[in-house]
Amino acid sequence: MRGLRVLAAFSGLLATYLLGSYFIGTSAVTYVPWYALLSLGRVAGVYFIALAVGLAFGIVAATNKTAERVLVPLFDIGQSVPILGYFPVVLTFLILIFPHGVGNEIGADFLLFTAMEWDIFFGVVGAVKSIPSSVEEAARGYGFSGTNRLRYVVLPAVLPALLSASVLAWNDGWTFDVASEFVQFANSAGALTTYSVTGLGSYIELATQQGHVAVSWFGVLVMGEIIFISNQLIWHALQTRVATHKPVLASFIRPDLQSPLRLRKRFRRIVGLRMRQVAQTVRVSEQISTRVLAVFFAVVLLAVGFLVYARLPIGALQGFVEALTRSGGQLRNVPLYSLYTVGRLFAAYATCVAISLVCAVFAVTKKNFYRYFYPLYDLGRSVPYLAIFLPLFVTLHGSFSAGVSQEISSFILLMLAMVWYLLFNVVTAARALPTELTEVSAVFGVKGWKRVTDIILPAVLPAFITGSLLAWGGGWNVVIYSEYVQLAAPSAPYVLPGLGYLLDNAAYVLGDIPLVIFFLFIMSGIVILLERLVWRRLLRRVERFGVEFN
Amino acid sequence: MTVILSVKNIVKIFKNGSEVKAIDDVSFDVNYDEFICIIGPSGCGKSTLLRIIAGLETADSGQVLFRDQPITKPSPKVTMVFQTFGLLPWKTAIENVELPMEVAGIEKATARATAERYLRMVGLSSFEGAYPHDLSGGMRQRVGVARALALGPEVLLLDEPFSALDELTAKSLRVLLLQIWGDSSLPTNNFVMVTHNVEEAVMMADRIIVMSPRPGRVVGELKVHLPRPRFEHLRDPVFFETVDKLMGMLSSTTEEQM
Repeated sequence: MRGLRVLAAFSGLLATYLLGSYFIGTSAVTYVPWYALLSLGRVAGVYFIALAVGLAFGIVAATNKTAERVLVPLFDIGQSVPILGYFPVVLTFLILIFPHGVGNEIGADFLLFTAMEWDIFFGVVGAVKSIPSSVEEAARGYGFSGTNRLRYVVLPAVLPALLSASVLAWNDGWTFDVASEFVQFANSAGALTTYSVTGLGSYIELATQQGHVAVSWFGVLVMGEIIFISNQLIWHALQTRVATHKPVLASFIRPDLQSPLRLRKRFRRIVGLRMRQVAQTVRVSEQISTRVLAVFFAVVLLAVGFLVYARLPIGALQGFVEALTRSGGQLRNVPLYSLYTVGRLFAAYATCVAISLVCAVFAVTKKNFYRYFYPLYDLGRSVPYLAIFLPLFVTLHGSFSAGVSQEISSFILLMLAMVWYLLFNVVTAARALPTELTEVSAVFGVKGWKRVTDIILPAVLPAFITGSLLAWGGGWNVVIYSEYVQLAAPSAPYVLPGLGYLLDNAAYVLGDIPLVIFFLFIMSGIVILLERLVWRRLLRRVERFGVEFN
Repeated sequence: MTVILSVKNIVKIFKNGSEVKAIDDVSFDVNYDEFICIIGPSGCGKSTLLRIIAGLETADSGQVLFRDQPITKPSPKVTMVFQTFGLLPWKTAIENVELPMEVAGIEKATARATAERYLRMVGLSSFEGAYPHDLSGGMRQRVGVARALALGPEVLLLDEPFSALDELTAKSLRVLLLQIWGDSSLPTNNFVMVTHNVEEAVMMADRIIVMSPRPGRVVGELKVHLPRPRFEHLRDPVFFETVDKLMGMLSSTTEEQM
């Protein structure tokens, strides 16, 4: 059976390759297997680093109070700031200090690392923390300590969460592969700069740059296939195996085996659907003011670091002030452009909400729903949405104006970045609806619209809120990418008015790091503000019901 | 004696790859004003049987007659109290009780007044605004009972209503349920309760239906000749004799498994 699937997977890839060379020319696809291997190596290599770091730091943070106080806020800040937001800063910095090629590679790896690490770290912390105290006590009672405790208690307990976090990290890594392998911008004089490392991602981007859209679509297809195949062959198989040789703790950890919810203090990504944990994380968010401070200090630290690096503390400080005044035009746009970006996110989010709520209702009312849902979900989750963006834009630009094409592409990109979190959470929650509640609605004749508003929607609400948090996090990460497109010179960049554009423009075109940090600060501020005003309140209300499933 | 509910030759087969007969040709009657207990070891299909009576599941053959009319779907005349209460966590105690009335289209003010009355009856008048989360297990089940009674059903089905509660709480709820059953001012006079607790069955039932597992069959019936109110007679020899007799019937059903 397994051999058959492996065979099917590779014949699928081979068929794609042959079809590709038939339709778009052998010369265009010759090196694709090599590029794919390079990207696979890059994603896999960084994954293992992220795994090691996440495991080590996660276990330490979960078992040592002092370490927790230091590490959790640190990782928290790391994942609070949209990855693509600080990438320009990091890339600029790396290219300054490393010889050209090495800086590019380290930059790409760094971006992948930040795309993967937080899932793993917070997954591990959550899993270790949810080891039942009875198991801990039993382990202590039998004198387990050190390696034995690690081997027989901690690692088996962490394994399921680690696997589900790994699936997410793996997919996120592939999603950001495109962004990590290829960065292109033009300075104000119109001179084009490209930072790229060889791989499938840069292959897709480069093909688009050169106007071979069919080639980029082919690259997207290959990438999607790789993601799909690795999900099917590696992750699903591992998950099934972990599920079948259930450790004693499996019943406690089982829910998060299938759920992408993770314990995250920042975005409150929680493990499982258990509301007690939501309550816990809400309490944690009480410390949000501390966190605002922490982010602020991190930004200051970054700025100071840069100033020290530039060895011109005073001059650079003056430069910072000057930069802010000089780019008065940029600053004047901040409120309106922030609104545009939030609006863009909101439009995509609203659509995702509609889709996922309809699916939640179907999940409860239609018996066969899952049979169609999960395969579709698997397939959809394998779409490398960041890679799709550029070819989609160019394809659409064939029939629409640049602005409209970019707006549509951005919408689709954001939807693909947001919808899976919501869908999966909400549908999993709908599926976890206790039979007793289904029977209650039948016995007391609750049906139709009333069943939707009084039973189904409230039941999925907690998962919906967490899913929303995740969706917005994912959305912020990619919206920056969609607002600034630089195709090959001499064309001017295609831009959508928004914070992402301001950020990319400040980083790449103006090369104005203080300004970038300023915009990053604004963006993080908006993220925190939204969370505080919307999500935290909603979570509080849900906490009041004390919904506890599973 | 009027037969209010009649279970006739119920067969239920579970198809899960292979076919398993869960209930095999079960028949019994419930007379007016009778308290029936169905007892049996786990796997005898007693909960499934209760769900068929409630109209939640359909039998593969046979039928359940309520006042000579076959039950095919849930009806407000036959309601149920659930093992783990089945309260909606996002509704307060009183909103939970109001829900069936809302569905039935009863006017808001009337529904509220009725819900208040039933909550008072189960001793929860000061907890109307509490969410289930903030109530103890016993209190939650009281809300469950109030909800089931709110529409004035004629038959109340109880699915191991005390098995998720500690023994002391269970005791006081048993007394409450017997009071409700004995209260002639209420329309709800016919109780069918599923349990696996022998003393509980003897303490509450007029008649006990004993079932055997795999497939679920009726292996016997026992009338309880203990005077009411029962909690005044729990030291009588009749009580212990009945308990022993029931134990004997039950152990004969499980013998082959041991």
